Amino acid sequence: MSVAPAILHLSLVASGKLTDADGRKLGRIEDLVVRLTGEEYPPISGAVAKVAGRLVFVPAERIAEIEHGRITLAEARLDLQPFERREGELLLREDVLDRQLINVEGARLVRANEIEIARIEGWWRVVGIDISPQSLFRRLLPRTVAPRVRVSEFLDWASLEPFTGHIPTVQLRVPHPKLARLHPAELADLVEAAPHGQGEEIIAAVQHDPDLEADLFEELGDEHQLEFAEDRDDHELADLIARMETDDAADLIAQFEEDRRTHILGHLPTVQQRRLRALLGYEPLTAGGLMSPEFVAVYTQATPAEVLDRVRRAAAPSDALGWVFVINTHRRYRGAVSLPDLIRAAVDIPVSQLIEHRRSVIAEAGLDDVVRSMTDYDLTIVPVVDDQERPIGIITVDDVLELIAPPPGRGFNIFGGS
Amino acid sequence: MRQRLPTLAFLAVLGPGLVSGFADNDAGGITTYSVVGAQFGYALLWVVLASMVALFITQEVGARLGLATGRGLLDLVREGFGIRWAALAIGTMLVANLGTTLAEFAGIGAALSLFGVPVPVSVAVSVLVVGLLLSRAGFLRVQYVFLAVGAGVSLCYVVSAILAKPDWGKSAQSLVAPHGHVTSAYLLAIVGTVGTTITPWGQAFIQSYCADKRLSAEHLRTSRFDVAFGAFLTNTIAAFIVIAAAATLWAHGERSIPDAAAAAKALGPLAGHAAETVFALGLLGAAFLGLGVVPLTSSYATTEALGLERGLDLRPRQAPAFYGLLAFFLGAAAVLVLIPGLPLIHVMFLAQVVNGLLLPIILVFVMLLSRRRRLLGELRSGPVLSTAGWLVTVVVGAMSIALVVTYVLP
Repeated sequence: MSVAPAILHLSLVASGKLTDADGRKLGRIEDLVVRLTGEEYPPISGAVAKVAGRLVFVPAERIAEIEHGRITLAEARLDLQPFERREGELLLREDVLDRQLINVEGARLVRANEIEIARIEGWWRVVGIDISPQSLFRRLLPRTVAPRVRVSEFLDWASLEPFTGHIPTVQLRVPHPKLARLHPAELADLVEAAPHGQGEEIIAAVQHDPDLEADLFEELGDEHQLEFAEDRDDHELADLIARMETDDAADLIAQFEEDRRTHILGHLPTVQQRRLRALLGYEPLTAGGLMSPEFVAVYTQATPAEVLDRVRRAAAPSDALGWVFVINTHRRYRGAVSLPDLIRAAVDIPVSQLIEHRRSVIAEAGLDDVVRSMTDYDLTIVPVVDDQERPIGIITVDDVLELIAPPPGRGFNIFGGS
Repeated sequence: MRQRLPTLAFLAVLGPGLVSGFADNDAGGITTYSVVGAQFGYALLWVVLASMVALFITQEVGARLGLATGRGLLDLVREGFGIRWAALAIGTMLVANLGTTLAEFAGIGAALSLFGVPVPVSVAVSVLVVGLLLSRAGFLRVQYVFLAVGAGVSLCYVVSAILAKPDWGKSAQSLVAPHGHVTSAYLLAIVGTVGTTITPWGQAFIQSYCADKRLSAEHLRTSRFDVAFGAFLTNTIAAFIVIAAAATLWAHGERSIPDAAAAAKALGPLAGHAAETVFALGLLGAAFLGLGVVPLTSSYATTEALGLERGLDLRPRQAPAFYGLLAFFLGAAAVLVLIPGLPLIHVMFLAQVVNGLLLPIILVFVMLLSRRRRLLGELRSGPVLSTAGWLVTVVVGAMSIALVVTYVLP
């Protein structure tokens, strides 16, 4: 027959007395120490007590009994070491009680009004925290009546992750494995809800997985993106931005000052750099916002063989390579040549003779202009040029279709209500 | 794409010190300043200047705590000094702020009754307006409303002081040179003036506000400007109120008035109907601002220290305790103010006493916390700020206790 173990309240243990095996009082309990192992319920690894005016450490193996108001030593003699913080250990009262923790269940921040301890598998362990007001009320009462306030339902430690950034020795050594259970959007919510320092800690906890970190940043609101990105150096930022979706990355980078922006961009791979540069500075629903900066442009006198060679070596995605732009020596746009025409053409004629159409739009042109160019001239791509007529990007038909196609489930449904 | 202008960056920081300063001149503040002006004329203007310095120091320290920790005052007290001290601070702050809220209602009632609106109507309407504003508008819009009302109030008092045709030379002189016969009434007036400027809720407010706007260490300079500007405006307005009362009431021998509404009323025959109207409008705005800020601060600080959901950006369903407390403050104070025959003056005095007892405790906590390196890092108060802060704490603390003693002893 199993009996639920008795629950001890930390606040009633720490503040009790330390006695030897014969019941003589040696000092006063100041705090309990736990070691954050991977276990579900971390074991108490000792107590901090004040004996004759100095802080001593009482290791777990010398403790015979922990109860409300008292910790009893297993032996009569007392030769205890002065207390020192050790890596990976938490002081329950000083580091956890009254502070915020992450409740992974529901992804909320909670405050520890009481820490509950119970004897499980032969040793005292932290089993959870109480966030109820009555546990606060209990702590206000004199210690003689306090235990009579009944134990309320508390949060299981298995779903809790304490913040440890404020503890000098634990830093870096304590991963927050339970955070891995959360979705990037939930992590982002926590980062936004916590004070800045704790937000940093949550981000640091997921940094071992740079893609997860990038996902988290994508989910942060603009001003919070900036809040947590600002303090990083250009290198770190470039690493982060390189992993983010291009549009989110552009939103983030757009928030920096011109100078800083240039530096960050400088650390990015060329392809991404160009992609981002192109996106920055254009409204989303203009030709500039729609275009991709990756295309192939050749001079008017190039031969089809040379051009095809360029196409073969180009890094741009295939759908942008169906057409090649022809430019003159001033880099002005002269027209577009299709890939099939290049393949079928005689080997030694200049590409200028193969130009099929000369239609282009300026970066500021609206979506309507782009669509009209495509429909009026039966095009699958539209070149985008700057005010000097130089090509700066290419819009492919799929970029535009996405925007003008009716959303699924609506429009096509003739019999549907609204 | 988005463009960030430096002015916007500044506006993003501006607010905590300014709103906190504006809200310091609430109904109780305006009553104090007009009573002081009527009773002592220009003589106490130097106290207003001294309070400005003191206010700047305490708010600067409070803002630093908010910038460095991103957390509220009572929260830090709970962590740093234990649950019992926090409970004491929460408890006294609740009582004191209920009294302050009551005073705001009384101020609104008195101001509107000068325009012929019956008190029950004005109380009901103001509960409705403030309740809707706080529960529906969201943090950002509430802030703009507060700033706009504060600016309006300031304008009213500048205008009423000019209309009162004061002795500007004498005003300027009194601002920098303390004078007057030191009597117990004189001392009491000094304590009242300082006590209405530096308040426990003001400390909680600035810190939570900085934390909520997620301002951090790099905003220290702009934040300091905001705090300084707030302190300057607050006390400039206070000075104008004292001057308006001195130039009219004191100059014509009307030395004892019970409250700000009476001051407004007495202004009529002396400085013209316009002065009376503007003064009453200022009182109305000030009381309205206090009615928004004081219950808001109390609910926020309490729920934060207890670890409950809070904030104007949440819906009432998401933060029941926060909105419950707000409703309690507005509701209880409105009901109390409408009880016929309740000695309001005594209730407000009681609130002042509780505030006076709480203030030194809160300031001591603030000063102790502000020296903790682990908490503040580079924003830790240096020796100068710390010394100035302790000086203010000791002086204000001694004054508060003196005030309490004079209230309690016959």
